[in-house]
Amino acid sequence: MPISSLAFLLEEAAKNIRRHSLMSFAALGTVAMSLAVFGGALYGIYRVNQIVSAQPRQLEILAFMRVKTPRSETLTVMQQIQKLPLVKSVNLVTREQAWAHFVAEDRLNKTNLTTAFTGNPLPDRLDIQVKNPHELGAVADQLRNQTLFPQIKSVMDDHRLLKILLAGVGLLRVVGGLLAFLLFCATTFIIHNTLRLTLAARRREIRIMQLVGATSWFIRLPLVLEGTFHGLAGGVIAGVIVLIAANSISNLMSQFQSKLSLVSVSTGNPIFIVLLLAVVGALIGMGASLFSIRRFLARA
Amino acid sequence: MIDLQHVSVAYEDIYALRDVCLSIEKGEFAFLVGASGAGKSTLIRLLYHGQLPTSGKVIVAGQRVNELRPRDVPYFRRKMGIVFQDFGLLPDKTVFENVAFALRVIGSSRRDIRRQAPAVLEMVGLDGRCDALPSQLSGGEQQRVAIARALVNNPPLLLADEPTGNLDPETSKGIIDLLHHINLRGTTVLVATHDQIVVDCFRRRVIELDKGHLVRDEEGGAYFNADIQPSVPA
Repeated sequence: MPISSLAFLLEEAAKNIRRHSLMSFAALGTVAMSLAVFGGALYGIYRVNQIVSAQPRQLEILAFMRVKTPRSETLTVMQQIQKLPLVKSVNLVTREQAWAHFVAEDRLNKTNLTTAFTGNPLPDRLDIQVKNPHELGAVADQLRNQTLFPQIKSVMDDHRLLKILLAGVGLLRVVGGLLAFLLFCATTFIIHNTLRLTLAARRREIRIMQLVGATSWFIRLPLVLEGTFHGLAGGVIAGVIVLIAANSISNLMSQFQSKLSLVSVSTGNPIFIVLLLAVVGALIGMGASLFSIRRFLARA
Repeated sequence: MIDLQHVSVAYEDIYALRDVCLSIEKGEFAFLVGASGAGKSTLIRLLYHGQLPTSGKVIVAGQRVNELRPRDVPYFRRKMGIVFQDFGLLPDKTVFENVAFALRVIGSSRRDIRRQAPAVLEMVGLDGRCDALPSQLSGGEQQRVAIARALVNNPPLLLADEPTGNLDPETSKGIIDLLHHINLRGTTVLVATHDQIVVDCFRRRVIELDKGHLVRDEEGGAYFNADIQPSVPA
């Protein structure tokens, strides 16, 4: 294709966008909104997935020793647990450390709970991390076995919560994937419909182009460029909307971060989101315009 | 230039054209006449591959129209100019842009456009209205722009489907005069019309269709032939 023709096509695409500014604005707005919903859903799924996937590493078993257990025995139990094949690591929190932490918290929160105690009532505690989060329950059950570990008074584990979380992740992946797919289809359909309106508005121009001998690619290219532009620009706008929304939610979440220590609230890579939505938008715009024009020309 | 051999066009069981044989030589000027529904527009559409025949052969400018591949159709259409009753101008482009558009879409250079578009506009008598929009022109002027656009790449054939349908008799004569002038420069011209005044005034070859049949092909004819009773809708 000669450079003059390419320049003409680009010029025509730009002119058409300007001349049909209302239609362009409608197309751009529709694409941006659809992609923002699509991108938001996708990003939401990604973030929840990320948060949930991080939970098992943070979940651990807390084993509380009997209060009067000597430190040497606690260390022996610690070594025994460390040798268990499913255990990744064991960390001792001494009763003194626990008391110091309790006092600090008490002072910070001004609850004056420590004044009710004459001495340190807290036991030594073993914080146990397992190799596989799915084995959390099995390890906790082993530690509860009083024949094996008579020095352990109680065991706290979050395997029920973990089970719910893992089931939730599975469900979220299926439902989220389906939702993202449906939104993708809806976005494509909306762009296709908007382009059909644009094509109907330019029926005369296309008919004249056909009659004066324009090749089908010459007719298609400005319209494909327009569709791609709408998709690209809509994708960038949607990316920015999703970013702003994600940041606002993250800021809100960070206020609860100390209380909800299980939830990490980084926003991920912002440029990645904008780029992804821009590329998805451009591809949808290009694909939908090619499809619409093909059908239109076949009928013309 | 145009050769139709036993051409029929049927829409299910209704025939728009039936067994039409017709030949128009290079450089000829012919009127295609007939009442509404006689098949004039169908015949014109056949010539620019706007429609395919149900049977028979259509040969235009040496090419078998019904055997063209879709990708060859645009190149085939560059060999002819087409003018319609509704002018078919782009309302948001100026006179010059409308004419230049026909050159631009076939990939002509800017230099060629600057050379050819003003020349053809001068030929149709619109060299002073280059910057006007179609809405600022009269019907006759708009049809002249359409003719200029059809001719700007010097096609050997000009097809006009009811070019005077929207014009008053005086302006119609002016348009046919222009087409006649174009024909004198060597372009084959076929005009489908039911405008009795212009046909009778110019007395050129008349091809008459009636209910899809070719009923008359007469050199220097009038709109009505005394030998044939025209079919007039009740």
